[in-house]
Amino acid sequence: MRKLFSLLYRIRVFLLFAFLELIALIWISNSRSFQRAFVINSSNQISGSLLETTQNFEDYFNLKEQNKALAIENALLRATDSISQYELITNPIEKVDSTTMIRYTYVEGEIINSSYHKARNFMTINRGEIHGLTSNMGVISQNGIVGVTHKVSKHFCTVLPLINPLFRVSGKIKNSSFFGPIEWQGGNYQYAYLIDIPRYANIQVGDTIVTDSRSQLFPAGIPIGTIESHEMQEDQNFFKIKLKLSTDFASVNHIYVVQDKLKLELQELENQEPR
Amino acid sequence: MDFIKQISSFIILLLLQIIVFNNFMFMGYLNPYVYILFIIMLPMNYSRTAVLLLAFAMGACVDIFENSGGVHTAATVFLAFVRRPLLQLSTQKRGIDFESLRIGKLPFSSFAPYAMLAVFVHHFMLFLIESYQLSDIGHVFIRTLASSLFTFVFIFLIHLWNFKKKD
Repeated sequence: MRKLFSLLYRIRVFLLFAFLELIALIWISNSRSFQRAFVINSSNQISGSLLETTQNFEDYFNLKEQNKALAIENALLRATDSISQYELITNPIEKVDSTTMIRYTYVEGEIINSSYHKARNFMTINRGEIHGLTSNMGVISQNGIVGVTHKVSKHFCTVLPLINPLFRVSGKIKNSSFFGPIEWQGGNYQYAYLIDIPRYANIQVGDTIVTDSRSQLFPAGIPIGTIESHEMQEDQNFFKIKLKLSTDFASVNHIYVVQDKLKLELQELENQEPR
Repeated sequence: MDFIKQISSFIILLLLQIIVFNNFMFMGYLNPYVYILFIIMLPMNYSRTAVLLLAFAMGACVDIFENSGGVHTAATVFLAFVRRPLLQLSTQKRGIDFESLRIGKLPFSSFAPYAMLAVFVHHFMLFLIESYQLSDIGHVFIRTLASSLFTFVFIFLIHLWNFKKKD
C-alpha cells in the first residue's frame, strides 16, 4: 500500500497532466455534437460583451465598405417597393390584402464574432431571446444563406454557419426540380458541395443553387451558391457539384434571422405522422 | 512582485490574442497564436503542477473566446507538460539546473530553438486535435508549419522588445 502511494506521489505531475487533458477532451467532444449543449460558449454574457466592444472598433474601420453594401441593398429594396413600380395592368378589382399573409419576418443583426478558417466554424450575433430568437432559425445575409441559430442567450446567439460540417441544408438547382444535400467538406471557406444529383440532370457551370421549398429553415429561393464545376460520384449514378458560396464568410457582417410564423403548425402536423 | 508580473503578462497576452491576433487571419487561413509565449516564458523554477494549472487556465480562456471548445486547452496543457524536455533538447545540455535558470537571460542561440520547438509542438497538437481525423495529416502539417512561422515571428518581436527594455 505504501509502495502504491509513493508511486502515485512520484507520478503526480503526470496524473495531473492526464486529468487536465481528460477535461479538455471531454469539453472537445461535447462541443463537437450538435445536439448536446455547449457548457461554455461565447453567448456567455462576459465574453459576449467584450467581443461586441471589439466588433464596434472593427465596424468603425469597415464603415465605408459596409455603408456601400447597405446603400446597394437599400437601392434594391427601393426598386422592388411599390412606389417605384409602374403598373402595366390596371386591375379593375381592388386587391384585397387578406389573400396573402406574411409568413416570414426578419430580425436584422450583426455578427460580433466569427471564424471561417477552421475545421469547425462558429459565429456569434448580437441578437437573442429578447428579440424573439430561438434555436433552429435560418440566418441569411444580403447575398445568400449563412447558417442556423444554435444556442440562444438573453442578448446573444451562436450561429452554426454553412461552413461547419454539422450544418445541413438541402439545395435545389434554380429553375429545375433537382435537389440534394449541401455539404461543406472542410478546407476552403468559399466552396461547398451539392451531392446526389441524378446523372440525367442538365447542369450548367454558373447556374445558381437556391434553397429548396422542403427546407424548414429558409424561404424557398434564397441563393446558396453558383456551380463552379461538377463530377460523377464514385457510384457513377449521381453528380457531385462544386459550389462557390454566395455568402463570403470572410466579410459578412450584417445578417437577418428568419422567423417562420407557420413553423409550429408545420411541426405539429408532421409530428402527428407515425414515423 | 513576481506574482503580479505573471498575472499581468497573463492578462496582457490573453487580451492581445483575443482582440488583435485572433482577427489576423493572414490569407484567410493563418492565425498566430501568441498567447503561448506566456507558457514559454514562465520561470523554470515554478513547480510543474503550477505550470500545468496555469496552462489549463490560459487555454480555457482562449477557448471560451474563440468558441473552439477545449482545443486550445488540450494543446496548451500538452505544451506545459513537455516544456522542460524541450528546453533540454534545444540547449543540448544534460542536467540543467532548472532552479537557477532564467529564460529571459538565455542567449538567443538557446532561446530561439526552444521557442521554435515549443511553438511547433503546440501548433501541431492544436491543428491535429481540431481536424479530429488522421486522414488530414498532410493538411495539418502544412498549417502547422505556416502558422508556426507566423507565430514565431511575433514571439521573436515581443521577446526582442522585452530584451531591449531590460538593458
